[in-house]
Amino acid sequence: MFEHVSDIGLRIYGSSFKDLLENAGLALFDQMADLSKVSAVETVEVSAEGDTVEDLFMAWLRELLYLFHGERHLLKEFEVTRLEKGSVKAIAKGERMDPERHVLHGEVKGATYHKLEVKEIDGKWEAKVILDV
Amino acid sequence: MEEIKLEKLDDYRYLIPKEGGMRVPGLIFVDEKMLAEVRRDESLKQVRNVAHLPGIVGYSMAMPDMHEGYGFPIGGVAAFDMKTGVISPGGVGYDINCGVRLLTTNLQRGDVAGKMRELVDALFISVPSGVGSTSEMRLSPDDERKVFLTGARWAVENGYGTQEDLAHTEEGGCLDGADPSVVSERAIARGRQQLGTVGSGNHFVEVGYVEDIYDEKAAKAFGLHQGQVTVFVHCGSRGFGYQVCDDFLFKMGRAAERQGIVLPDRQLACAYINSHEGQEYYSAMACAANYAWANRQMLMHWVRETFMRVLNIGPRDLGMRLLYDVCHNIAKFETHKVNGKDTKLCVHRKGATRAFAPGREEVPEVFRDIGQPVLIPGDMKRASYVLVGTEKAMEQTWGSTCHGAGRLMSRTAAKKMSAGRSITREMEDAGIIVRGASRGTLVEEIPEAYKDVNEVVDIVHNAGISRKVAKLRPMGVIKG
Repeated sequence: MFEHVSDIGLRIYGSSFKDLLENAGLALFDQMADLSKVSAVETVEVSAEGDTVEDLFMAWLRELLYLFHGERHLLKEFEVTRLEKGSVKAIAKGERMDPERHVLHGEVKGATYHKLEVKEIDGKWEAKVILDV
Repeated sequence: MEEIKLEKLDDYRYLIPKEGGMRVPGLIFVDEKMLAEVRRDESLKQVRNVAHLPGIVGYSMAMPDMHEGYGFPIGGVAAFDMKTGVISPGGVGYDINCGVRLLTTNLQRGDVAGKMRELVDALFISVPSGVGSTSEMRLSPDDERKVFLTGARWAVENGYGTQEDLAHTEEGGCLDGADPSVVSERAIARGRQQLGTVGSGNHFVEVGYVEDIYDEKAAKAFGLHQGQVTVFVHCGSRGFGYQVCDDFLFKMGRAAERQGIVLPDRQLACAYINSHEGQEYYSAMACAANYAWANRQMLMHWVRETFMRVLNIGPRDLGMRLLYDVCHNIAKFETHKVNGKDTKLCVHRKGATRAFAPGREEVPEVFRDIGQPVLIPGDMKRASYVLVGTEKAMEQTWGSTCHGAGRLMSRTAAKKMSAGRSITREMEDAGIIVRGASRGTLVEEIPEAYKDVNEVVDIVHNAGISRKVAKLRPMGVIKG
C-alpha cells in the first residue's frame, strides 16, 4: 500500500501477468472487506479486454469493481483460465454481500489511471494503481 | 518532484507562465502559506497539464482549496471554446454534481442545544448513510427515467419538498440536455438502490448555527441571522455518477486518440465538445447531475421531517427553507465575456463553486440584486461559510470560487494520526455531536486532514472572487 492525498495506492506483484491479475483481484477485495468472513461458494465468470497491458489490467479491475458495485459480489479466489493478447477470461469465487455477516472496511469506488504503472522486470510483473475510495 | 515555476501577481494570485505545449498560462489563487502546502503534491503540475487541452480559454485555474486529483486538480476551473474546445469527464470528477445545500430555520441555537444528541441519532436513522448504503426506494424504470431527465423536479412532484426549493437550486435542480439512452446499464444498476442516500467519504448532514455575520445586507437577503440554526447537506450522484464518469473516461481515452488530441495524462481523457463522444458525455453527465439534485432534495425532505418529529413542532414553527443548492463538480455551458464579447463557453468546475455576480439571470430573482449565494462547507469541527458571488469572479474566474476546505492529508495518514484516539469524544469535548456510519470514516475525516477553511475563505474574499457573508459553526454531524 502507498499513499495518495485523497486515496490509497496498491503495489501488486506477480510471477507472471496471469499471477499479477489474480493477485490484483485479491488485493482489491481485501481492501474492501474482511475476506475471512467470505466463503467461496459462488462462481462468477469474468472477462475483460484491453489493447495494452495497462488497459487490460485496468479493464480487469473495472470488471471486478462492477461485480461488487452492480451485483454485490464479494470475491476472494481468482483463477485466470485464458489469457491472450488483449483479453482475459477468469473465474472468481466468493458470495453475494450479506450486511448481517460481512464487514466492509471501506468502499473502493474505482481504479484510476493516475500514476498507473504495469511493468515486467526480469520476467516478473509489478503494478502500481491508485484506488479512489 | 519537479518544482513548477511561478510568478507572484499579488498576495493571493500566482501565475504559471505558459511554456512548452501549454496553450494558456495557469493561474492559482493561494497565499504564501497555502502555496507551501500546495507544493507538497502534484496539483500545480495538474494545473499545467490542463493548460495543454485544446480550446482552453483564458487560464487553467485553481482555487485555494486545491489539491491533487485525477487528471484535473481538485479546485480546478477551466473553460473551453464551444467550437475548438473539449469536454472532459476528468474535469468534472467521479462524483458528478457533488454539491451542497444549506437549509435555514426559524430556530435559534438554544432551541436545539439540549436535543442535539436525539436529533443527530434520529437523522442518522432517517438519512441512509455509509459505505454502500442503500435506501428503501425502488423506482420503476419510468420514474428512473424521470429522475435522469428532470432531477429535483421529479422529487418535488413526488412529494419531496416544494416549488420554492426548486427556485433556490442551481439550474432549478435540472440540467437541460440529459439523455438516458446514452447511459450504460451498469450505471443505472449502480445507482438503482442508492437514490436517497448520503454515501460515505466526506459526505455528511451537518446541523450548525450562524456564529458570525460579515455582510448584514447580504445576510438579510439570504434570510440569515445570528444564532440561527442551519443544516448543510453534502452529497452527490453516488455510484450512478461514478459509473458514468468511469465509462466515459474509458470511451474518451479512445476518442481523444482518434480525434488526434495529445494528452499529458490519461485521466485527462476528453473529446471535442461538438463531437459525438463529447455530446454523449454531456448528456450522460446531465443525467447524473439530475440524479444528484433529486438525491439532495429527498434527503432535505427527510431532514425536515426529522426536525419536526424530534422537536415536536409544525412546519411553520420550524420554517425550514432551502437557502440555496450549489454543485461543485460539473461542466456547464455558460456565457462569459471574452475580450469584451459575450461568448458561450463550456466551464468545468471540479471542486469549485459557481459564484455569479448580482444581475446575472442565472441567480434566483430574490437574490439577483445581491449576488448568488455560495456555500462552503468546512471540516466537521472548524466552521462553514456562506459567501456571495462578485463581479470580480465574473471577470477573473468565469464566476467561480473555492468549494470547501480541501484535503491536506491522505486518508491513510489521517488514519495513522488518529490511531488510539476517540474522535467522537474529541468532537463532543468541542461541543459537536458526531455519528459516523463507521469508525473508518470518522478517522479519515479528522479536522487535521483538511486545510483550515478560514484561511481558504480569506483568500477568495481578499482576492475578491467572492465575499464573506456569514460563518457557521457545527453542532451535530452525521458522516457517511
